[in-house]
Amino acid sequence: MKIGILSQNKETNITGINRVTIGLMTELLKIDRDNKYFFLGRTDWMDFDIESIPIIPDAGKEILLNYTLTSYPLDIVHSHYRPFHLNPNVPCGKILTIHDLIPLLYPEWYKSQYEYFDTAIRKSAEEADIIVAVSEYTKKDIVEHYGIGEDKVKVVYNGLYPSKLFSKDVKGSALQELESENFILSVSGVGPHKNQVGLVEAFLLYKSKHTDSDIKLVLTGPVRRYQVIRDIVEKHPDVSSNVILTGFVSDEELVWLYRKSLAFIYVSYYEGFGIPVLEALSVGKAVICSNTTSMPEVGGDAVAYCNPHEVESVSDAISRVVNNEKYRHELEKKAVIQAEKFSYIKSAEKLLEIYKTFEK
Amino acid sequence: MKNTNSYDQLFSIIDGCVKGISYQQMQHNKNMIVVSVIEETRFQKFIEGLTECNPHISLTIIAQDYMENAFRDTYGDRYRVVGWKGRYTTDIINKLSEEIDIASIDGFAFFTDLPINLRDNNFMQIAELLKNTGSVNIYSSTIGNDLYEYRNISLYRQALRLFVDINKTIDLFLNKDDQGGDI
Repeated sequence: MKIGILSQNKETNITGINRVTIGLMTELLKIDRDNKYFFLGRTDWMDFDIESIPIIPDAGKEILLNYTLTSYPLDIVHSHYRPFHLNPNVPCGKILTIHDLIPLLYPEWYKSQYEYFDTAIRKSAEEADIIVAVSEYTKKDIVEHYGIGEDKVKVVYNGLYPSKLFSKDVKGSALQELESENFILSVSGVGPHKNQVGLVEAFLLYKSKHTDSDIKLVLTGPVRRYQVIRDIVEKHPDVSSNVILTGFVSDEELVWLYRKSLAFIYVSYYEGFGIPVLEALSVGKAVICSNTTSMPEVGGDAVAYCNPHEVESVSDAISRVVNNEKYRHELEKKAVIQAEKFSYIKSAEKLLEIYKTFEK
Repeated sequence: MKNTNSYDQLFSIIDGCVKGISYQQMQHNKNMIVVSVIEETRFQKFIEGLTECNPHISLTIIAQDYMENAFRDTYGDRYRVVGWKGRYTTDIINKLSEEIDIASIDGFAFFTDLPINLRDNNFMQIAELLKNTGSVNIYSSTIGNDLYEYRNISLYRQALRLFVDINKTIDLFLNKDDQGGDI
């Protein structure tokens, strides 16, 4: 079969969706010698020996593929992210991967993307033959909020981008001060659903109850949200030096932070999968994470759970992990075993089974 | 593969209107309008790249109203920051003309997910309007990464419209077959 893959454009720092594409394609191309793969659009920057078919994308609505497929017929189009439209009478299987429905579920936070999820992605999901969800929880959301039949939605978990967490680490000059510090690490992108404010409030509550603890909280990521966090920290001047905002760090610096940290914390309100949790588990760290949405699927019994909506619950979880060395070491022992349950090798095998259902 | 000539030719026309460039190639601009993004780190990298090659450039930074203060704090001592609410339309040029001499603008830059896409029609409308006022170079940055210059905005927009129309026509044709009648 000829299979067209739609993913994202080139990025200077490979993140998110592109990591998923690279991970899946790396393993798919090893195990699948029968099918021929093509990239749709400008994904020729990815280091694969795959032909590209030019397309005109539309970042705001579904990508129009009638003209493309009329000129370049394919047996399957699989979009790892962007919704697409193909007339039902064009003989081609349609697969759409959905990572989460966050803007649909939180329009108060993501109103600019709500319409995109409510129209373009909804329409493409309805037109698709198969939808790939990256977790059972995302599947549940797709079935419930898009009214899609369960049989049409298949779960293929994310894994870890191959080299990231085994790369050489480096401690940039900005991180020098952390060399001799004990800290818990939180890594997350922009978005109110990431609950960085709740995390900081919980950490400050922990510090107020454990005044002899020298632990710090290190937050990496974009700067903008930090003004809100700075405002919170300024109200607690006696502990403000215990919250460290690194801003953007390189991949190598991030690996150093993961390895150096005492534990990892991720108390997002909502995730479609939760890759940072998996990353931390893969380097054998004790992880504190939310007991909501997809995170229990990733964490299994290898993490310390808390309710992200309750500051006390998050604070107690920090206390359990930081203050109880024996418990922390138990989590560390389970961490890598749990992480090994997720791999792009397994995901690629599952995906290939899905592709085979389209064989004539 | 089937006959791909006509498709490839249309794609080449569209693709030919957009060229990858470097910050050095932007250094001749003296007075630019830049539409900002909320991803501050990436926007900062763009401004740094621009000013490294062109330290004396004059910039008017347009920001969504909820980000206006943040950008004014960061850039307000060097550049003009103008707030705007909602979708960017050609009305922004009308607003700016109250504060700056639009005819002195020689560059317009915006951020986009993709260098070629159907979505940024609003920015293309602004670009065409600016082009009508004088010699203005049009640039985009893919969220702080690659840089592109748009040459021949009119041809670019017409070709994109043609692409959309062909897709719709194929829909009509194939649906006609479904209905068993003639269009």
